[in-house]
Amino acid sequence: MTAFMILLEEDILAMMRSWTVWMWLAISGVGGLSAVVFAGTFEQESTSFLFGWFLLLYVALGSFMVMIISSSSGGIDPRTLGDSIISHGVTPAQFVLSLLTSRTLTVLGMSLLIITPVAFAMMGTGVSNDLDPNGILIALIYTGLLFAVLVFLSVTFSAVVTNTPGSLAMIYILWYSAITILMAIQADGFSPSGFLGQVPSLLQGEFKWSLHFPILTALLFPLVGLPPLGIRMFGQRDF
Amino acid sequence: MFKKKAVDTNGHNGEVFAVETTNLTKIFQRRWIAANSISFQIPKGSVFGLVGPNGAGKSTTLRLILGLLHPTAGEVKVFGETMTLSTGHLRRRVGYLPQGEHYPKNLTPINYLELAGRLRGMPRKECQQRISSLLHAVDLLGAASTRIGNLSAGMTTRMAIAASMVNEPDLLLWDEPTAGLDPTGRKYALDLIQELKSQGKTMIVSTHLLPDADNVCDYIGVLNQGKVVFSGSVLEMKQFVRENVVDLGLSGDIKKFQETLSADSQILRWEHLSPEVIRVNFSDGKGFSEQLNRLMEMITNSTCDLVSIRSGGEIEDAFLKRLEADRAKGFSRVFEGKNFPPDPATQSAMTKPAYSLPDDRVNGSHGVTEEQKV
Repeated sequence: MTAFMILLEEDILAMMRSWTVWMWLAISGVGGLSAVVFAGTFEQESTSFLFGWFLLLYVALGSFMVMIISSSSGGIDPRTLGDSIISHGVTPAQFVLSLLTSRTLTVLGMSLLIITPVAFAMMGTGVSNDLDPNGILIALIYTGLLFAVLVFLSVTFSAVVTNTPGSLAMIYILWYSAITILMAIQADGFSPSGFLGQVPSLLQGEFKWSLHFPILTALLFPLVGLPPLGIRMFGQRDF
Repeated sequence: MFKKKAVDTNGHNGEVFAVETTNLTKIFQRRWIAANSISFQIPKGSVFGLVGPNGAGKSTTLRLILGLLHPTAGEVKVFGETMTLSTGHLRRRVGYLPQGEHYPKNLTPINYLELAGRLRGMPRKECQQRISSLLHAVDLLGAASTRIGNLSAGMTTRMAIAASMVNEPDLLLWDEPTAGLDPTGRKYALDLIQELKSQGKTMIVSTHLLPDADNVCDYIGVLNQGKVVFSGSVLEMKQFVRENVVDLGLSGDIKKFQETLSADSQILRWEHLSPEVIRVNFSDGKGFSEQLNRLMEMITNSTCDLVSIRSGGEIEDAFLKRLEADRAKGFSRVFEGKNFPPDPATQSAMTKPAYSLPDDRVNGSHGVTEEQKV
């Protein structure tokens, strides 16, 4: 087994022991249950609208949690990292890629564990149900991609800034500045309000490639570009 | 006069050294020069002692060799291959015992050793077998499931020793292996170095405990302020300081013996180190053993009894002398390595050995100064 797989296994186990992860799972579980109950009793709005709001809150609040989970990765004391990990023959590429993979899997796993049952439960219990399984699938892909970008950004920043609070502050500033700018310029399809305005129709199963292609491309771009940057930055550090 | 000399017992053309550093330099934040153009070669199967005062750059040098630090200039070759942060396969052949307690505190020694073994490419089963024997060897079986954060400094060092040997690497870099160990643990560590040496392992051991280096090392590199001030065999280091000096512990009529010493033309100088201890310097004309024989005869013929004898050339003396010599060079260090012809007229006190006795203390009964006692 390569060092990458061993580090991946170790980090996933560490994530499973993390109280931050379990706390977020519990909070989002309670939120999801509330959404299901609400959808079963609230008649004025369609289920797709309610599920859209649930997703919006989940992504907005979940972003904080994702950044915290991911930023703590590379922020381990450099001396400890050097003495107890890197000295055993681990290369920067193995370390950064294992972190990216484990943190992404953790975040995606947590999201799927909550969003999927909530979506299908709302579909079953919703008074004004208009959710479509294909729409739910697309919503899951979008949420997953968004979180993955956030994980990649946070891990890359933590590889550069060894101080965890510092790296967290930088990623917060970058993330929320980007959202503010997108909202300010009202970029077509890119602004959160514009994006979320499309959510109900998306959840009803409507899918226009022309609308989603630029968004998906914009989300995939950092997923390709950030790992080499993170490895390069991490490789320039002293341990 | 104290010309830096690289250890070179290679003997065979083209043989690859275990470690070879060339002008290795590390400057932290453009402010602090931790390693200053360090060059040495360490043959396979030898034990190299890296000695120097605190802050001399020993740990930095080891971390540079392991690739954990990027050199500002120069190069490190391990088994003939340049070591960098990306050469993980090369680092797996090196066992590292770091200084300090920088380990994942929530892991137990078993977990940590297993992680180390598996990262070094050992199959899980083989790793577990090796861990149990290592934990037994370092006497940590009782604390195997205690969190690392709760281990004592000595236990952490023993765990780190085990971790450095988990995959039986060819090269071991041990940074202060006896630090934090009790006398039994220290003896164990030194015996272990001897044992590993007999198995043909190459080792670099950093220490500021000179008797440790004297006991186990074949070669010594003395570092001072990031610079190698001496590199050579332990014997060469001792020969450097010997200067035909012996300290005699005597009882009986010492005064009469002093008169005999003063009358002897072969005895260059003598002095009291304490009322019962006399330091004697021979002339350089005859060999050390012949001179020593003569001195013993003088004692036999006198009314004194020899209580103890200690030869000059202890490694502490050699070490201090090296440091003194380096300091005494002053600005002349700038010209080190450049072949300017020596000009006797300009040879100043800067380049004379700082350890020589002052003239006014020759053949007298002056007490030793505090500085020299140290």
